[in-house]
Amino acid sequence: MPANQTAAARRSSGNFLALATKYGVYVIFLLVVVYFSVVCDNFLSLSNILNILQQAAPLGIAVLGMVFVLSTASTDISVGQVMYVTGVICGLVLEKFRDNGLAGNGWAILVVWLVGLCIGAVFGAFNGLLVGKFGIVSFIVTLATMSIARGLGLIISRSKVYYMSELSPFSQSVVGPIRFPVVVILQLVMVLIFAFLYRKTPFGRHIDAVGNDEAAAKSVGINTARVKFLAFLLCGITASIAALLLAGQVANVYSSFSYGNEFVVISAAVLGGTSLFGGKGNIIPGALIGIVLIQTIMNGLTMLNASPYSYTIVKGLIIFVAVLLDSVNYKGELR
Amino acid sequence: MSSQPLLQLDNIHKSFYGAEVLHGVNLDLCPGEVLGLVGENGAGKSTLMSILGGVYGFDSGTMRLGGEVYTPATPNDATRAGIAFIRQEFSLFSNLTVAENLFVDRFPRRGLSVDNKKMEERAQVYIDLFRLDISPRTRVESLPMGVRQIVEISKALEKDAKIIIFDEPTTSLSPKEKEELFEVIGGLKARGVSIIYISHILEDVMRLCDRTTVLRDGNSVGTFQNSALDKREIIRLMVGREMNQVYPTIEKEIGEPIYEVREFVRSGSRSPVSLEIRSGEIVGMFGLMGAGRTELLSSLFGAEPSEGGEILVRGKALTRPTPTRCIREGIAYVTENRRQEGLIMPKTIEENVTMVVLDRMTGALGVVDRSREKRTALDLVKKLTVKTSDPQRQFVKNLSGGNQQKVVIAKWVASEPKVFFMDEPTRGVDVGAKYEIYTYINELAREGCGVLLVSSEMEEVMGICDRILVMYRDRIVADIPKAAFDQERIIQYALEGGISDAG
Repeated sequence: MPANQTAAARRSSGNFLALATKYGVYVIFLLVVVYFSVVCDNFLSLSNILNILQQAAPLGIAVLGMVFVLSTASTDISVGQVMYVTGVICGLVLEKFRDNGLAGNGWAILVVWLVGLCIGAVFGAFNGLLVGKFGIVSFIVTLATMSIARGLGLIISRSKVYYMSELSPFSQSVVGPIRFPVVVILQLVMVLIFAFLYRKTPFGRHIDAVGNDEAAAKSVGINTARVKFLAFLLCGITASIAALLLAGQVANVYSSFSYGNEFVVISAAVLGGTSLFGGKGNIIPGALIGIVLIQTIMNGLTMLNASPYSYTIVKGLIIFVAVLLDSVNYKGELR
Repeated sequence: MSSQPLLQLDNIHKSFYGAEVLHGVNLDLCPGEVLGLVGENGAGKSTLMSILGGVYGFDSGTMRLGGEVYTPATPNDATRAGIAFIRQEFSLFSNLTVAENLFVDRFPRRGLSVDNKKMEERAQVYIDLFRLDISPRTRVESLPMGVRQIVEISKALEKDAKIIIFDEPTTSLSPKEKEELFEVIGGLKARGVSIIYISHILEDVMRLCDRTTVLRDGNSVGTFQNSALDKREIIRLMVGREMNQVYPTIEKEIGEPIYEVREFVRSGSRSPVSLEIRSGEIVGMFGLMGAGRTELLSSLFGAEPSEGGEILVRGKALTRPTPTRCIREGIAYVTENRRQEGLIMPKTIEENVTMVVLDRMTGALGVVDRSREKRTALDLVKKLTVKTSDPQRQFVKNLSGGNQQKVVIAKWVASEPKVFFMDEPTRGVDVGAKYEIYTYINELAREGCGVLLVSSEMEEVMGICDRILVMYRDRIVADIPKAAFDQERIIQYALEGGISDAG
């Protein structure tokens, strides 16, 4: 019977689709790696691989905070601009030290770092307070914060470029015989900390509960405002760490520094299996694989001498793929 | 049970915005007892339970728990006092494991981290106790409803609940799960837990409970030993009158076929289905849970995919049905799950009623004609006897189940359909509202509608249908006219798909 055949065909295609979406990221990763290694000679060299990892590490740290925020069924689109304003203010502080001939001191670098972390914490806390305590939709709150952070950065810097070379030694240092980047080690340590927080602590379990059903979470006595506040706070802090490391890698902060990175960070988290619908985060291996995949594509495009303008289009396509995989995979219940 | 009552409510009064809804209710619950609580929707059961659970306060009267005065100010106070609720909708987190759900509000810790081992050991105790075939690490999303409910009960026990209140617990359960639940309730009773069991299914109340308290219009009619009661008696106490004729009848004419289905195959089934509904005819569709009735209806309506077949609406072919096309052809579909599909809870009655027909209510420039919208809504609310003071202001979520169902029907009636699909239209609805809904279905048929009514209640299909189709494993195995209605025959078709020749 034709009806049966079509039914069977649909079933098997359904299975294929389910498999493809479940392991989709890995398949894409594999295809990307195979493609670039065929068209670029040095793509699979150890130094290029380490280079990719090193470049992915700063935003990889920002992804960790984002996983927390997304898992509470919220979102934070301010991270890119929070990174920008962090870079600007740290650049300003560094400049003051430099004017007084102190920029080379270890404690000066420490002060710059502390200032940077505070800026991230302040923005994160602000977002968290508005979303958690006052119950405003996170997309709108962070849209506003994004605009404010951008404006602050532009006012302070008046679009001038800050040199950050004093931060470079750490961001670019390597260890061991294979010259393994230190930032990647820092990223891995933070991955372990965040995975522990998420999987093992009451706070982490509460994040999932809030993301699954906020009303139910409230009714069993979970302080949902606090959980969301902490998630946004951590997201702000990881964004500022990312800003400091990235500033060190590129050695300066200019007016388009970190522009559009919120979308890289969100799509990296979602590619890694964290759901935009909330309640489902993935740190190991998700928070690693997503960002490395994106960085690999960017690296490959650079090696191919692709137009820098095409990067934005590619980033847009990556977001589509990420969200598509997430939506098809979403099996949650109506709430 | 002569012992001191564990819980004693005495002369409880409660008003909302000046209107008294409880006029001095009394209730007492003995240790280790299962007490039934019945009453029509709006009789005050929910209000009473919300007072007990610390959601609302009360105006006067006394509550005593274990001999001491009990006045919960918050739901947490009720939990701490050992009172737990098992509701129709569970408060479980589907993305967390069974063990995590049991401890989500107070995780055991070991240092900084959650003590998974301890948590899972405790969860295993309940899994063993209730003989479940799951691991403490199973995520709740992969569990069937019945097991989820038992997880919910375990959660109550873990919090040392002494009183567990079940509010319509069998609504989302299969018959097998229901039996398992009753066994669990028996086990709880044996452990000395006291239970208040609220249900519309009187057979269950009769079977399960030791005594039954009947509420009517905010008064307690009384508490009766179940051994001294029968179902008819409870109904009489609930509605205050003998229901001599539970099913209304009406003079109506059955005309030409208006909806015909030939060799229709829904996706996921292999059996072609054919059926026919005439104008003015009420066709029942009976079958066991999982026989494929809801699935058939929903793919006939185009809400789920189908593989082929022919559908004729008033003689006109309807190829590849979609909900939009079906509505345009005059088909209405009252779904089984009014909470999820039928109604927009936080909107007013009026907005819900006019939702389907909004584009017919427009005046110049396509702007909605508010006065026409209001007229239509008022008209239908009156016709269907929805109990509300103000359809423009009252939100649907604040209506009782029966009245919500009337709003669902009103919503579709507004589109003046010729064919009505109704899936369990009286589930969770009290006796009085049921009668009103039946009356209205008859009314529709008299005006020339064809009605296809899916129901799991034998009495209901026999009471109001002109013809009964019996479904068995995705097939229609019997088409029985009213003259040949016979309970045993119908159930045999539903159970076995055919009639064996025993005497």
